[in-house]
Amino acid sequence: MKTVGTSFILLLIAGTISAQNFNVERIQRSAMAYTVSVDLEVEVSFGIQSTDAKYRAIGTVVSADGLVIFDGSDIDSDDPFSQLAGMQVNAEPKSIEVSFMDGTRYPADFIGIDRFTKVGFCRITAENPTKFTFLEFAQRNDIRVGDWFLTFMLLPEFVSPSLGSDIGMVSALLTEPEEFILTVGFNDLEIGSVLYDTNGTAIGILGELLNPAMAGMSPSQMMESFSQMEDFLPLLGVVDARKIQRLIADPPARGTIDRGWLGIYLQALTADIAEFWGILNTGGIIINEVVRDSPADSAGLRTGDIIVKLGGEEIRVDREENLSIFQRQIADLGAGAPVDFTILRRHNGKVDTLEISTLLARAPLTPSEAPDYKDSNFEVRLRDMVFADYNIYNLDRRTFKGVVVKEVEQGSWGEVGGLVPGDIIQTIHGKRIESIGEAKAMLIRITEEKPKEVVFFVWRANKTLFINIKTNW
Amino acid sequence: MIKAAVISVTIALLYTTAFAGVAPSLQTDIFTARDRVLPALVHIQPVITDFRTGKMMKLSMIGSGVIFHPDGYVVTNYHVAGKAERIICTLFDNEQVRAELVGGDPMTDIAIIKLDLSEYRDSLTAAEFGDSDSIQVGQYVLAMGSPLALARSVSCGVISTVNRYFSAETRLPSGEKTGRYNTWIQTDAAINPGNSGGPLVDLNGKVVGVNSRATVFADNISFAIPINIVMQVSSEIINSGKVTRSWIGIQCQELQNLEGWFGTDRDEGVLIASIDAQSPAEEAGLQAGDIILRVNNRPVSARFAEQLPAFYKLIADYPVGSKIDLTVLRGDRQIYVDVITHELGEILGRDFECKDWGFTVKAITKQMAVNNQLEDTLGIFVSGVKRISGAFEGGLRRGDVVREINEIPTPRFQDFYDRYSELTSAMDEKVLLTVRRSGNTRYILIKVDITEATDTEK
Repeated sequence: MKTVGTSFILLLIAGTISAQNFNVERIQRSAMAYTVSVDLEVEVSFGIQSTDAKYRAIGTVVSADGLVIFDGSDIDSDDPFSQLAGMQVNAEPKSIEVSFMDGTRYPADFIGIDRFTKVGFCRITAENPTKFTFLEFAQRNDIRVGDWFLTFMLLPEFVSPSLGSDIGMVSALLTEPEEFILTVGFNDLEIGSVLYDTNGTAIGILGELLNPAMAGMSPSQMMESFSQMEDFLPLLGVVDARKIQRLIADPPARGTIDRGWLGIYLQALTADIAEFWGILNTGGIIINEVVRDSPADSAGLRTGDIIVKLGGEEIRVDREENLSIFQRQIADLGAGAPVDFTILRRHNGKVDTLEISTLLARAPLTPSEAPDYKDSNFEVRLRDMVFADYNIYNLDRRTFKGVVVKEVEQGSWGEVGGLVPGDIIQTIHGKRIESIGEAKAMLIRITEEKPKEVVFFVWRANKTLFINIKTNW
Repeated sequence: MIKAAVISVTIALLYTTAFAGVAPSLQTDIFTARDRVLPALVHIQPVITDFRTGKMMKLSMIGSGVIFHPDGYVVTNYHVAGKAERIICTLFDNEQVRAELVGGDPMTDIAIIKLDLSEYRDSLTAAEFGDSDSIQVGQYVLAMGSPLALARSVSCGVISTVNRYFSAETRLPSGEKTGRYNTWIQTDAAINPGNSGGPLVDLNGKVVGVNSRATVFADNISFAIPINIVMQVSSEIINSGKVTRSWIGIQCQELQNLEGWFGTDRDEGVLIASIDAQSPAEEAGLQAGDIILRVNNRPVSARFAEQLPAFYKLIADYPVGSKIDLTVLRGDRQIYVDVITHELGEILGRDFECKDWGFTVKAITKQMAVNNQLEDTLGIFVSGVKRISGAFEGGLRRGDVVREINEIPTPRFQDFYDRYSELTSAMDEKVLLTVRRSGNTRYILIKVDITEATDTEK
């Protein structure tokens, strides 16, 4: 009891000393005008069960016409942890409400979530044109270890007022796996909150280091690596003003994502492999596979080539964990961007150096971004096939077509009939289905014709089968 | 108090009178059956090899079996003795003898072992096989074996169902699919781990099934392989050491509820749901949605899933390389398709431990390629990777297919084996594997820990 008390006082003292440097009241007063609570209603499914869930995230108004950024990590369905838990969050929230600290509420339209920073975007839809007070971020490049930041967190709904304050300190300026200002003192409930320096300047928001140990891992690979739990602890720090400003200028919109894409599968050139192949470079990208008709393909890249320079700069990726840095660089360049590579090509024990240029393409949609359709009679949600489906199941993109069963409601016609999430529907009632549009049209036609039973032909785990669904109009 | 005593006496009397009518014959029958089969019961202790953790591990198992031939042939389960390195058996008279594996068949979960009788003085009692096609639901049966290693245990129950169907996706602990060619006898005679391979006996003292599995978290829902299936499989194993089956590569589905859609009559035809890649069926142009009406002019039907194993067996029983004439309904046309059968072959390939590199491999069979969605049978399948090893460190994972060692192709098991032996005896410190993983290439550099490699040789 005594020790607990002592450490509590110590904490208070530590807090008091540094908090004196902040004019917390003044900063909070202005923050009250543009800090909002973003209430999201989303559909979450575990296997065949789906339920509506509410998430409350802290948000910040960043433009006069009501653009709001918020912590989108809770509704990020591409998060491998969610996938591991068998959980699928439907990426598009059913509804969003933005509440200001004075109690005014507005509906908002969902825009999208940035894949890397997990910053979510929505826009307030006010009935009358309203000019909102908004926050402007300022980039600071002189941040040092030991600097303190102030932030405001959203307190639980049952307390009032709803904002609390907190301070944290810069603990390290990371250079690996990427440049990242690491903080201590903040907790992951504060992700998405604005960070202010002692001058009251908004220098960024609290974010999580894109965990390199996790990036690009499949759920089963994560399971295998779970013994190294420390690799999965969240590292909190600054998503800086420059990054946020770039996102605000060009928010990531659903369905129209223009991340850059090269079309290769890759692995890191480790020192061991480099030595084995007699390559002097430290770091590089080994090309494992070139996607047909991709920018990499048209540029003539081949399996086994090694990318050592991107835009004249050496690639220092020498560990698998750091591949995400290269992937992010390519993504950030954007669709249509010209890129120059220096590559090494090995043959007969010799190594040639080649210069290659290409234009990046638009990144393929992820499963959660794919256009979908929910049929209210069969109570199933279907989506278009995406690049990842072909990749995971080793299917031929040119010949294999269909739509993927995304969700099947419990007790629905679909479930009783035997449809399972993950099934790829090939035909519905005899009609070949190649896209979500065709599936929707066919299901609408079936709704009009009301047959007693409907036969689906589906692909499941490398086999096909017929599924007879008895209807009950 | 007195009243209670009176009641219990009455009940006791009632029971006695009730048993007086039925019990003697039932009891006599049970004793007779016991005497005919119990002396043939065998308690089996095999040591099997397992490769799933990335190294070869020996596991000691317990199972049951029954002698069915005076020369010492014993039938048991594949999952008991099918991968046995050495087997010790305890006979009914408590004498211990060694046994050798004759052969096994994962598809029906049957293995045959032969007792070494060189040091056994008495003569063996062999149990007789009955006819599993004539058993009935409700018929009394005895299960004999070593539940939880408790040898020579007998339990009693009835036959609950004569043809329980499990989908072909049912797998044995060792990973092989099982049950594609048979249905199962369900019984409520208590069967526990250790009963596996023991006989299910009717009251005439004939073996009607081989007990092989029970439902976990349930009471008295147990399953036996029908003896008629066992007889066919065991004679093939004794004659040739293995079971040879024809394969055409179709997956079928019951037609129930789909007759209207396909326009067939009740009890007519077998629906093809799926065609295996690179199979004789694909070559012959068969399609999903085709309905097989006749096989070599013999009408076939599978309206219910329980009928599928018999149909698969019909195809499998043709000699390998036979031309089968299929009468097929496609849409509203009847067409005739000739399929030449291939051999089903091994389900899983042979195992090998790459001790110095820290992982285990399996030769890739045709069936493995189909079941694991591999591109082809080239290379070697990684069946397990030791957690602390150069291979794991280098990024090798279970399910990878090794295609090259030091960038020299190793398409067949022998190529891999030769290359491995060559490099390990040369004590090479670094090895580069080229592997395929979900349709992509990956390079894996293994740093061989020479000290550990030599240590483990001890």
